[in-house]
Amino acid sequence: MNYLRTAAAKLVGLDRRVVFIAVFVAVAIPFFLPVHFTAVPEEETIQFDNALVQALQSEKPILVDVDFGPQTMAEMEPMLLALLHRIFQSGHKAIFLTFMTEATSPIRNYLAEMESIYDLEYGRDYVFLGYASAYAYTMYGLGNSFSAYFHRDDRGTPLDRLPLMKNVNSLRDVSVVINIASNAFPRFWIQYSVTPHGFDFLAGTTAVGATEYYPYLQTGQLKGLLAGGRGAAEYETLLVEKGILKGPGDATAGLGAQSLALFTILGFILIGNVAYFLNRGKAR
Amino acid sequence: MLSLNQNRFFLAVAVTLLMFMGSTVYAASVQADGMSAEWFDTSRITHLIALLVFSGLFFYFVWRGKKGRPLHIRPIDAMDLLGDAVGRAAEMGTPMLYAPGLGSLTDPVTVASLNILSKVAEKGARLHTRTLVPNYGPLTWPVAQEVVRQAYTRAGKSREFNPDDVPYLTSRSFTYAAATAGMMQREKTATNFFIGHFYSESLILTENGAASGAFQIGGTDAVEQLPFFITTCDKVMIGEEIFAASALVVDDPVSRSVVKASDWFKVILLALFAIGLIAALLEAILGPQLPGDATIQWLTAFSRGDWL
Amino acid sequence: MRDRIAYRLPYAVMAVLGLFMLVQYYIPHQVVQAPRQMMLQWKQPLNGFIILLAIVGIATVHVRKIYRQERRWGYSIITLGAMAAMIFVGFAYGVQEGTIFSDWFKYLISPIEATMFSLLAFYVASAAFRAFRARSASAAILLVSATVVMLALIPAVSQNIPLISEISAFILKYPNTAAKRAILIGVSLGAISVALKTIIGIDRTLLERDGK
Repeated sequence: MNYLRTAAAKLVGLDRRVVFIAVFVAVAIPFFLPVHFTAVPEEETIQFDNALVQALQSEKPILVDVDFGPQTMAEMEPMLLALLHRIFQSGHKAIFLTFMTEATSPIRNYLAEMESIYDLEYGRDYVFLGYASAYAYTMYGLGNSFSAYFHRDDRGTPLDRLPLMKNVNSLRDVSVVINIASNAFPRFWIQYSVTPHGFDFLAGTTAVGATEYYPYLQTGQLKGLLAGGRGAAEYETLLVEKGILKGPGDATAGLGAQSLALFTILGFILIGNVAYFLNRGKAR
Repeated sequence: MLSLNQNRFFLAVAVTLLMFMGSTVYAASVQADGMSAEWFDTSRITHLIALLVFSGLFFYFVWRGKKGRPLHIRPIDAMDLLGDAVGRAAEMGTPMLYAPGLGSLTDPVTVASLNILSKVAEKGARLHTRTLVPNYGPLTWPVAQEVVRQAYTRAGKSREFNPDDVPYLTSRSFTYAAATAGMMQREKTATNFFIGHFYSESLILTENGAASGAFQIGGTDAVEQLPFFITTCDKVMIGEEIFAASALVVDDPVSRSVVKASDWFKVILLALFAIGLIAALLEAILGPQLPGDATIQWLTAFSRGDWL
Repeated sequence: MRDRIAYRLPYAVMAVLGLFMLVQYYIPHQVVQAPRQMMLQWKQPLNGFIILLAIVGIATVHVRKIYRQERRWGYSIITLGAMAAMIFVGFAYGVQEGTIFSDWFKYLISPIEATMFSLLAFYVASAAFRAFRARSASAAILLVSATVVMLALIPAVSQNIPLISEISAFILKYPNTAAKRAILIGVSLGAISVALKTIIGIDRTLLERDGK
């Protein structure tokens, strides 16, 4: 018993480097083992797709604001790719923009990939408006006018020469606004643009940031939410079920690492508590 | 500033008129396509009423505060510990670190944080303890520097102020976290403050501080970062406590009255929420055909927080 | 006199512009909205000057360090050198895809930042280990609810243990959201107070000058 208590005392003050190594091992293992996990779509994810289906039935194009950089690419990229397949598979048109300079070059690559898969034509099927600074002002301003904030698109073409932009003057002329972001931009969209102008708004965020948006889901200011890598994995499953994706993508592949990391953290919490209680007995 | 004498009143009227004339001329000179000719956005009436009620309370309590009637305000743990936190660093002979967050100068929480910084730096200066202020926003930086300089001046130690203690680091969040963590470890800061708006880098900042054994006071209005602060800091100001603390550190009656006003507004809100809840329950039980349905609908919508 | 004007002018500007922004929210008429549009458009070029301020900020700190040969001044040379190199290649060869600037960004800055972001997983684990202990009743509630939410995030668990997803969703949607709303309302009121204080000029810390 005494031996146990000494061990407990040591565990209470466990060096955090031990925790780090354990997490590292847990995250690394699934990449070498052929373990497969699947996610079951939750309510928010289904809501997200339902709202998108509604938008896909309209004639108006979809506006997608992509705001994530290389830092969070592992978590956000699968989500965006699933969404792009969803939009372009159904033959819908979409306008893209970003408020993050480092997002521009990845977006060009994703869109080029889509162009070759679905045989899209730039300017007619999709447009990339490029980077805009002063996000809050632009988000608000787009409710009145696109041309006041974007004179040319990412390739330097004036907006009025793009067939897709002919009928798009303001946010009233898009069917839904979707923000795939690793930062607080969905909140700014809601505060600065959804509230004054009133349109359907969907968001995809990192897992860390997602909890912030549940209140907005309830008030309807947000129509659907993809929450982090897990939300993306759920969406992949949903799209596979609907026959839009051929197989699950990177988000589903990441579930293994995520699950094992969570198990490790839970294990440490358990150890910490057991050790704490044993140690408390000793202190008495 | 508040007492309106005649001259100021006429000046205010003149400025308003000039602005109105200027903007009319400007509006006429540009092609204002897609713009409205409505003079009032009726969909925002609830919002306006809420603002007017709040402003009414605000000015009432400011007026009371100016008359010098004492106002009682609930103490804030983290704020009461500010002095101890500064004292700890002074005893250990190491500097303090004060991160005013990643918000811009237009975020009210940044303004509130700089108010608290002013007090912390002043206390530190009196005890010959440096305050390191790593900055994220290039606009916040000169202001923070000036705030700390003024704090040293008030403490009568203006010669001890070193502008390099208040540097601009970077505007990339994770780079900022790395640089600040490095600063904490190199300078072995005994006390760390993280007060302002933070994003996902918050845990990197506070966990590094916790690992070095520093006493930490956190505070943020970013709800999703609060759990990280609560697990890694010794004391945390939750949301509006920062605004209250920023008013209370000044310790003058007018600032206290501002806190009082927002407390009373919360009482009004709670009462409305209760009414809205009862109304919604009544509607659910009695069906939508009861008299005064429009009022109930409005109250339900209001208590749901549609105006926020 | 000139001193007094210089001292008061910032307050006047803040008050006038603050009031304008407040009023415009309720008035959709173009007499108000057109100047607002103009102000918003002015904001964009102004952002450029902020970057200039940042460059000056970094340069002054590090030049001073090198000049005085303070501790670790070697790093300051690296910082200044890196900044100068980025600015030079950006202006000389452009910033588009495939240029040196874009490559440095992609292959140096991005991986370094991604590394910092991934550290979060480790820090979350070590913070959870130290903090999630049932020291008191409220800490125990936090511990239990955190455990349920985490378990529900693991597909192998949520698909095999009944009700765990529902309980987790309940925790996130109701108690969690209610607490968040309460904090959010408090924050909004606090923010309005600060804004009002700034507009009427009670809050003077930011513009304080020599004890005035």
